[in-house]
Order: sequence, then C-alpha cells, then structure tokens
Amino acid sequence: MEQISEGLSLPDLGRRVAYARERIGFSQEQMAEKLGFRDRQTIQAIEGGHRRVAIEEMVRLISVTGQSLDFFTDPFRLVGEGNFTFRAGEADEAGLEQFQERAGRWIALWRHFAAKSEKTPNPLRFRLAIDEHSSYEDAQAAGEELGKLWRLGDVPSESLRKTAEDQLGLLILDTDMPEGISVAACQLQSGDAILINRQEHRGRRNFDLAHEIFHVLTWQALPPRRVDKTEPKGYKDKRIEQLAENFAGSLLMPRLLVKHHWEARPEEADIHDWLKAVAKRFRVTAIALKWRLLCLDLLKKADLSHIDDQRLVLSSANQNGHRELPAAYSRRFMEKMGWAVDRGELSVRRLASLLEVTIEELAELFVAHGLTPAFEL
Amino acid sequence: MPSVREIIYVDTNVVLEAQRTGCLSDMMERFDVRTVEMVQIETQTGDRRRKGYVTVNMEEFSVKVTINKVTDVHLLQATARAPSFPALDPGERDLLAFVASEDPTSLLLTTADKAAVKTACQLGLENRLISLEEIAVRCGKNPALKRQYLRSWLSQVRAEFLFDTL
Repeated sequence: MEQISEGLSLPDLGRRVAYARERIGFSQEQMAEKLGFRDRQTIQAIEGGHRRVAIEEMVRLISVTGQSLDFFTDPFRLVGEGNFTFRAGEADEAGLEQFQERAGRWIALWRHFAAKSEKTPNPLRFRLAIDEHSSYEDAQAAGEELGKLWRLGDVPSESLRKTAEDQLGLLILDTDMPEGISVAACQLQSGDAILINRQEHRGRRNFDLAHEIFHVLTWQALPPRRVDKTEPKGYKDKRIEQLAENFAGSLLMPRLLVKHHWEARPEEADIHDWLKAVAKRFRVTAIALKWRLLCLDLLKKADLSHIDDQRLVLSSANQNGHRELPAAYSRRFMEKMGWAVDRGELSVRRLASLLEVTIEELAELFVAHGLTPAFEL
Repeated sequence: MPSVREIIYVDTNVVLEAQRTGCLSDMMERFDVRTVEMVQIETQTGDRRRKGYVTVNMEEFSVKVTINKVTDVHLLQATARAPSFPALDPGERDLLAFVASEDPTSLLLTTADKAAVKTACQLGLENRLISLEEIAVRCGKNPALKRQYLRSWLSQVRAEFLFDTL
C-alpha cells in the first residue's frame, strides 16, 4: 500500500470517498484501477481514514466519480447519511428532495460546531419503550409519564422544546418549508433534529414537535415512512402515526389537567368556544383537544356530530392583530453560529448563504434571538 | 500615481463596502486591483430589493479589475494547507486559494472576515493583509467604514490568530 505524507486529511473524507464509489457501482478493485493504484488496499486505507489523499489523486477522484470538489470537502452538508421523515400533505418529491438538501446543511452546520465547542457531548441515546405490539393506551401512558418525568407542568408545550433540547440533545429549528410540509425529523448517528414549519399556527407547531419527538424516540422500533402523510393509507403506517398522535396528545394535554378543565366548564358554555379557550391555554389546536377528549372518553363519538371543525379554527394573530411568527432557526442554534463566527471558524458570508439571508438580515436574525451579532460588516 | 501600481486582491465584502462608501473608483485608479471570477459573480448576485443590496458598476469593474480563473488544484492545495479553508464562502475560498498560489511578496490582500483572516494566516499570507481603511487612506480618502474594515480591527484579529489568544 502506498503512503503519502502530504495531501488531504479531512474528517469525513474516507466515508465520502466510499459513498461516491458505491454510487457509481465500483468495487474497491475497480476504483483502485481507475485511480492508478497498484492495489485495492490503498482505496481501503483511504476509505478507512488511514491514508491521506494526494492532490493529484483527488483530481482523478473527482473526474472518475463525477462529483464536485465540495462533495468531498464541504463539512456543511450531509453526504449519504441521515434518515429523514416529513409530515406532508401534498408536497411533491422534488420539493422534498430540495428541502432535505437545505435542511441537511443546517444540521451539518450544527453538528460541526457542536462537536468543536462542546467538551463533553452526551454519549447516550434515549428511546421510548414502545414497539409494534404497543397499544394506543401504551402510547398515551408513555406521553403522560414522560411529561411527569420531564416536569413539564400545567402547560407542557411551554417547556417541551427546551426540555427536549436539553434532555435529548435534539436540534430543533423553526424554518420556512415548501408548501405542504409541516414538520420534518432527521435521524443521525451524531444526534437527531426536528425542523418545524414556522408558518404554521402555534398550536400545530407544538403538536408537530411532540409528534416528531415520538418518532425520534421510537425510530429503531417503529421506523417512520419518509413521507408521513397527514392521512396515511397502509395499516402499519396508519398505526405508527396514530401511536404518535396518542403520545403527542397525552404529552401536551395530561389527563388530570384536561379532566379538571372539563369538569369545571360552565354548563351553558358552547362547546366550540370552550374547546378554543382551553386549547389556547394548552397552546394546542382546538381540534387536537377535541380528539384528546375523545381518547379520554370525556367526549363520546356521538358528541362529535355536534361539533363543527370549521368553528374550531384558531386565529394565528395575537392581541394586536399581528401574526405570530417565531424567528427562524433557534436561539441555541444562532448562539452556536455566533460562537463560530466570533472565533473565525465560519465566514459571515458563508453563514448568511447557508441560512439563505443577506448579511444585513443575518445581523437582524441574531438580534431577533436576543443575541448581539458577532460581526460588523 | 506610481508608474507600477501595487497589486491588491479584493474579496466581495471589500468591493461592496468600497462601493457603498464611494471609494471603489479611487481604489481601482490607485491600485492594480485583482480578484477571482466568483467574487465578481457575488458582487452581482442577490435580490436588489433586499436590505443591504449594493449595486456595483460592472462595466467599470470588468474593465479596471483583473479577474482570475481558479481551478480545483488551487482549491485542493489550499484545503491541504489551511484547516479552516472549507468554512469560507466560495468567493473567499477562490480568492485565497488563488492568492496563495501567487508570489506573496508582490501583492496585498484585503478581506474583512475573521475566518478569511484566519485562513490567510494559515496560508502564510498574514504579512500581505491590508485593511480597506488603509487602502482608502492611500487613495487620499477617509470614508466612514464599518468596524471590520478598519486598521485596528485587522490588527487585533491578526494578532489573535498569530498568538492563538482566541
């Protein structure tokens, strides 16, 4: 096997070389021959990260695989890794692919700088004790118990996000998504991520987050489909999604609290007004609350015919009539990006381009998260 | 004007700030301004309606500025030498990769990005760095520049990287 002392030695280069080789359907022997190496072991050593790649070898590698230089060297992209699931209604595959590429860049950015800045990353990965044999009641019980374990309090959705970030090491981002996608999750060896469509109503965003936390915590036992339709068709897919819905409902609306509100409702109260008022307190949608009441047997199936879902739609506007739109990405994410820029680990223009904003808008984004921009350009 | 003008390589941030503060034309007269294709593209890219958009007169820029072509070999050589190279924007990357392949004693380089300054130091270009403020002064101008284009900023950041005090 040939050894070289100079050349490229990037953290993920070997894995990317292997991925590029597999994409063109070459064996290690064929690749070695194409690149002019004497033996297969040289490719094996490169792919294993045990041998540097000389510059002229890299030029040949780009030519043979048909990939760009960035494919091999850019740390801010996911190459051949990450399992995605999208909660989407009518989004087309091209739109999903395009969004996955964008999301992969944000996740890769986070991963790169989290690894650089955190001295003691949590090596543990958590999972929920739910599998294909679990019932909807099991999923509800899991949601209730997790809420207690995490001490989510009277309005669980208020602290769920921060708790999930802290306890699970999750990256949670508010982003602009193509029409039809409400939320996405990505499973990665280095840590999972959830991306929420920030244009959605607050109650929907909260529910989607709880729903995706279920997927993240059950990914091995109940792998979700790449596209999780709002109305799945197959039995298995439908069941996984219903387990997730039951879990999310009980996590955000614990039984005792819902029961308390139900029993305290004025007799003359219109059910629509009451559902909307209580849903607002829980920061969920009134429709989610309706289904939760049904699960808890506080509402009967027969009662549903008296409820008009059109009348349960909550306004997205706040008291001043302005639409509530969370700042893009997250404070935690932007803090990390600020750290990277301040240390000269990341160029401002590169960050702006990855976050799809101008440099002026990037400064405003830091401010929107209560942070001082780490640059004056 | 000196008979042989000093060569100066510029990045996108510097071109836009020089244009915004009205010293780009002076700079192109006083210096032999050079850059790379990607920087030229970046100075024209973007939505004119978006905040902070600066319009550069491309007719004048294309005539007065030497635009260089960058190859994968330039980029690979810089990637091998500078660990922070992949963290740069494409224009900054192309510029530094090209400048690092030139004779460093005969040129000046101006950038206002911290990661770009760090990479320039890793590529051995620390003594070739110059601030936009210094360039403007040499052109007889004193524009109101943002902080990262000042001599004091460059001096401090360069020292931080060279003495590893970050």
